[in-house]
Amino acid sequence: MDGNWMVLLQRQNQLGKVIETNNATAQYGLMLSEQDAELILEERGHALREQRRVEFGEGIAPKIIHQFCDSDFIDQNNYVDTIIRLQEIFYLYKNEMDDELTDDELLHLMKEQFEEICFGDLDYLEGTCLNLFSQAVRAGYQGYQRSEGHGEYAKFDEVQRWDYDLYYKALKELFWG
Amino acid sequence: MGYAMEELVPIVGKLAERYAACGHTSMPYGQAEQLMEAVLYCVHEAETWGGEGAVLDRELSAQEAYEAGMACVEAKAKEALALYNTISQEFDHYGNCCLHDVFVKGMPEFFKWYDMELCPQDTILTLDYPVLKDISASTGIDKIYGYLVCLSIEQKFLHLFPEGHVREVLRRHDSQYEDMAENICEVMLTNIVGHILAGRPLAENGGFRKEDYQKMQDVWGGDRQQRLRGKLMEALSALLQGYGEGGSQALDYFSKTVDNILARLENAVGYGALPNLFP
Repeated sequence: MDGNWMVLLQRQNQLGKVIETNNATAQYGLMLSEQDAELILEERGHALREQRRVEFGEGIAPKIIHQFCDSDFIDQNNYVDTIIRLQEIFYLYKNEMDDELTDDELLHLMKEQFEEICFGDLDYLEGTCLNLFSQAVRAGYQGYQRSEGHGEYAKFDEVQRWDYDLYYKALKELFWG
Repeated sequence: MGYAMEELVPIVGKLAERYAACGHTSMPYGQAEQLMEAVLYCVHEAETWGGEGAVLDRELSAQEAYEAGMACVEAKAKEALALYNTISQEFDHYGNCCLHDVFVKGMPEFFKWYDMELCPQDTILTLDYPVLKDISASTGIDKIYGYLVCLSIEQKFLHLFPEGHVREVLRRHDSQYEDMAENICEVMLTNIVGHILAGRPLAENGGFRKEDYQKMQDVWGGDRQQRLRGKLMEALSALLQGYGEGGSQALDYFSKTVDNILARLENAVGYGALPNLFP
């Protein structure tokens, strides 16, 4: 079947929806110009083609922006690049998780890991955190449905994140010799 | 189909929004293609509903044609379900697992899972029991309805004979007939053709004898294939008189099988293999 109709389907999305997000992000010092929004939508097209997906409605970009705009690791300098990269990661893991997670569940999961585990490192988010979680989803894990994607990663984390004993030991050595 | 993609895409978009209602704003190409196929299937239904070659009023917009097609699909699904219920009342699988599984296990699952809105083109079942009409070109409810019509004709035909007789003929054809994936009516028709050629009454059971094969060979040698076909169709027509309404439909349904049997008969006579064809 001629794939051009998929391009038509995606054209329903509007640039205005992305620019509208400025109303909500301004309080965090984040703004998108029209060129920025066009770039985000252009890159969205590339990511969708690469992941062989088709998007409809207002698309995922405004949702990503609303979810991540209060992040400690995003500022005006890396705003556009981060949103573009998050879009790519989002579509990749929609496929990797066989569309089992809804958009919101996946976004909650991404945001939480981005903030608390990856500390803004997108490569770590893509290559390690979401990769581990997608394996669990493909193996049949469905716990995210109850939690809506919140507080899920710790169940599958292979790294000990915070060792209190070690912390107190180091603290003692530092202050009490 | 005279609609441009630009007219069909908004319809796909609306279907996609139903998918979005489940919390997704994007879907894989495969799923989007499935939705487009669903739209095309419904439009095609609207164009052909009401018999072969029926053509939709071209004045209808793509959306109207889609809605008309959806209504056709729904009507056909209801008709198919009613037909299934009618057949079920006197359905007999004669111990054949293939027919039993398709009709008793498979069909209810089809009616349970058939999604006429998002995937009307999906046949769901593999329909392993072969019918005597080629329905491979159709899909979805078209295929299921066509299949049920075939089964309805077949069940009526098989009910012309006592159950024990059918089972006996099947057993002589294949001692493991319970597991065979062949059409039961074809086996019965072959047996009937054998009786006609041998000049023996149908009620007489117990297999064919040596002199029967000799007689078949003589009849084949004396008659040309076309003449013989005429005779067999006449006999079949007489047999189907007890059929009442739909007798001509049944005759038409079985006529191709008679041709197949004649072709196999020619081969069997040529290679002295009549006992294999008429056990």
